[in-house]
Amino acid sequence: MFKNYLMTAWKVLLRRKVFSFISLFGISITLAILLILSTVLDNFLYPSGPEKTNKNFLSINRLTITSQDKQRTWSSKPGYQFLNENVSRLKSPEKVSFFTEFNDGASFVQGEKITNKLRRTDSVYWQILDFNLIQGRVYTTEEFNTGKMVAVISQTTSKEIFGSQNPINQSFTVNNQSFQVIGVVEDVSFFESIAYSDIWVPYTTSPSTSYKIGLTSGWSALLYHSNKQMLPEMQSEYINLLQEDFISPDPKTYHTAIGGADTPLENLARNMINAENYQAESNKLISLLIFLVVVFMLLPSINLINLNISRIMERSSEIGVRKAFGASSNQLVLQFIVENILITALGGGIALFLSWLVLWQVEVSQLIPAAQFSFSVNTFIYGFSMVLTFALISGTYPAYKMSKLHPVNALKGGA
Amino acid sequence: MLRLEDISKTYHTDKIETIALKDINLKVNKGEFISIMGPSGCGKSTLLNIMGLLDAPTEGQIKIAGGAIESYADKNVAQLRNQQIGFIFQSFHLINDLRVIDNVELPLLYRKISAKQRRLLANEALERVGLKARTEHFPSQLSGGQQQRVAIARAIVGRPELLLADEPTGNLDSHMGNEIMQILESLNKDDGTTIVMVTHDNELALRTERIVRVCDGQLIH
Repeated sequence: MFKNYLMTAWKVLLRRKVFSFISLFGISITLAILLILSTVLDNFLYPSGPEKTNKNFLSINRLTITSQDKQRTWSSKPGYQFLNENVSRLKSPEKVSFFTEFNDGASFVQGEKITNKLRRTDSVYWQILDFNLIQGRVYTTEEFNTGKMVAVISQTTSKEIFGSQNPINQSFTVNNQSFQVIGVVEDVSFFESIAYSDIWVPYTTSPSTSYKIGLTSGWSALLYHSNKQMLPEMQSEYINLLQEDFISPDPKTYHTAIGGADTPLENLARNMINAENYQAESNKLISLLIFLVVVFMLLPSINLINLNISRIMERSSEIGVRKAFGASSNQLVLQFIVENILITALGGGIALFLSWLVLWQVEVSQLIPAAQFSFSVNTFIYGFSMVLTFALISGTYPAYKMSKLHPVNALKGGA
Repeated sequence: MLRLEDISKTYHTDKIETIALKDINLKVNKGEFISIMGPSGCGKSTLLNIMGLLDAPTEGQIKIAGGAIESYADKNVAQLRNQQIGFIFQSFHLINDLRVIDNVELPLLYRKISAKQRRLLANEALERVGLKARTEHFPSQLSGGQQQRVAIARAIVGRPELLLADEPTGNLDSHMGNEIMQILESLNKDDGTTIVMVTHDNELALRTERIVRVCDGQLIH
């Protein structure tokens, strides 16, 4: 039966080439954009680089401090002082790491300035994140504690600074500080915002101790536990600490601290919806994303509904015949939906190719530094469910309308 | 085989009431070949549509193979049409996108029959109408007479007891019309299929066992 449906669908598709092209074009472009976005989101939530351990850690990336009179509010990344005096007191995490965001680091190679990203971290950072070490080693707790001028650099940075020479034990200068290279790691994708950088050095090598002051500045923390079931407990301990036991250098000015220890999705939600709340409200983000996807799909769906309905007229005789020979309305609905799934699946196939092409170009052109987009099983699941949703949105109404045609009218050729 | 009791059909459009059929009582016996004649617009096709359960009467009752039609719900009549009735139309109504063999198989798609069995029955039906050699053709590649033979094959593939033919020769020249008539006669005599045929052609009507005349929506006795 399905073979018969598919054969008819294919013929109908070929019969009106221009219309079919317009339909397919709309479907492919829509699905390609959605596939690209979902692949990016997928790579963000399930990274393949150092952050692949993200099921076992939470990140503290945002903090809102309010004064007692509620007149003043600071909202940014937390500062070292806040992390050191508060987060370090958490009991539930097995490991806690503090590190800065990445900043520009200027180096000079044969008189020419090159700018790289520089991040300052502790030594636990290397234990929580799973970097792919290509050469040498990462810095030890002792090196960190003593503020040893050592650096880990990325493969690309190694090539930029040292060319084809072995970089290990060689020195280079960044932001007027001289470091000895002890390790080289594989380039990290820009989407792995916790791990991403070109050069990593111990934060104890900072040129001044001024970083130690301030509740809000460009720092972050990771809370790690080898048992991911412990994540909720770490979250509630952190929120509890903020609510009950927040240590402030000036309780009147910096009175209330609001924030959360987040999973990657919560982190995204906190940044996108700017939830200055203890809860990151990732549900809101998911609802928003679903809403946007549906709205985005609606336009080409309406277009397809229109085209599908206009095709009813030319196929009314077929509908009449099928009804006369025993097709029930439900069977006709099924037939038309199968046909619509075929055209949508075809569009989905083109979309998959288009999105692969775009993402491959983004990778090759280095538009987003070190971005690597892998098409995972998830991509296919997203793609397939999008195709199905699209086909159902655009096929059900015309199919229903078609199936309700009166057989006598349909045979006469009228809708 | 088929019994119409006090059948009336009225159409309502914008406050105008059109009576298409009025108090029709008709009995078609099993194995009978009857023709329905009458001037254009007298209700012949409406009568045929009601017999074929394509349209519901406004009043009255239909009995097919002893059972009265209790409900005109889609699923109920669809199944009855599929099992009991075969249709032949004046303008053939073949699906141009499908090959001859697929057109003939169509009624079997709505039965629980394997693809292999469908193909077998469709080939048999095509052989019955002398078109075995054309299975892979598309309808547009055939002459009018051949197309109507495909349509007959489609109508008989499910071995229905009742064939309803709405001016089956109306779009054909007399030679081809005669061929079609011969096939119908053979189906009636050899296979015992009950046939009700609407026609304008008096000669063809005379070849059937009984002529039913309709005028202004009523049977003339």
